Amino acid sequence: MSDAVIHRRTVTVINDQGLHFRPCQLIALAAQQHPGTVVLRRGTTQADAKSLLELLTLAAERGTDLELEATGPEANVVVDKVCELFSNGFHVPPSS
Amino acid sequence: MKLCDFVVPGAIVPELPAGNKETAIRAMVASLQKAGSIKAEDEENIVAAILKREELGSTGIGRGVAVPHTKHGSTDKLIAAIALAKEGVDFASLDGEPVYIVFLLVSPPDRPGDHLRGLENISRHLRNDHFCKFLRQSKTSEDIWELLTEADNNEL
Repeated sequence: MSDAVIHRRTVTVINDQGLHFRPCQLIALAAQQHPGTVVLRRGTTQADAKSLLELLTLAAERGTDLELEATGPEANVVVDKVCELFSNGFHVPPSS
Repeated sequence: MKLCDFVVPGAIVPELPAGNKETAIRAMVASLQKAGSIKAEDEENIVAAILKREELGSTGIGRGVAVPHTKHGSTDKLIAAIALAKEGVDFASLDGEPVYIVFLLVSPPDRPGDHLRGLENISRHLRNDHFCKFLRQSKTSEDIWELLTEADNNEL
């Protein structure tokens, strides 16, 4: 039954350098742990959050709001993990 | 932003000499220097910065492609070199496969938006199988430039 539940949350890019290579890599690694789907949307652009290549096409600068959506068993867990990455600025120094 | 807006025509290397990740990066930064896009005195520093970035995690993104990059004050606009490695280079990519196409980016530290748009542009085209296939088949700088132009015009 939990498979049918869609977990949605709005996340905001707060780090200075935006959603560059390293943050996208961290999101993809977190999403790949989840057996169901994980999607990030910026307006009409949608990215499979398990794909680094797709995440990079979001080109999300600081201040951008994105819709995070996950389905499948314990989708709330992956949503929490990805939200934490956004809220702590991806734990990466700005120069990387 | 289009590929031809930031790829430096004189910094296209259609065939990298056999080597490794570091020699590939050195050859590409040297091509940017020879093309006049970066100063000779900054060359070594840029190579070091890109190698340091690679230590944080490989920029080999799968599909036989790597996107090594750094932000550096030697340029006031986003610039890129492109190289092909017919034999493949071990970039310690996430998928464990060798790299045949390398996009190397240098962007000014104070323009994060341009850096993101450059990555977006490259990633969008790399999702196109035709683009990757035709790029790997290219033999000359002119072939590659023509392909970039066609990609920019959505002609692939």
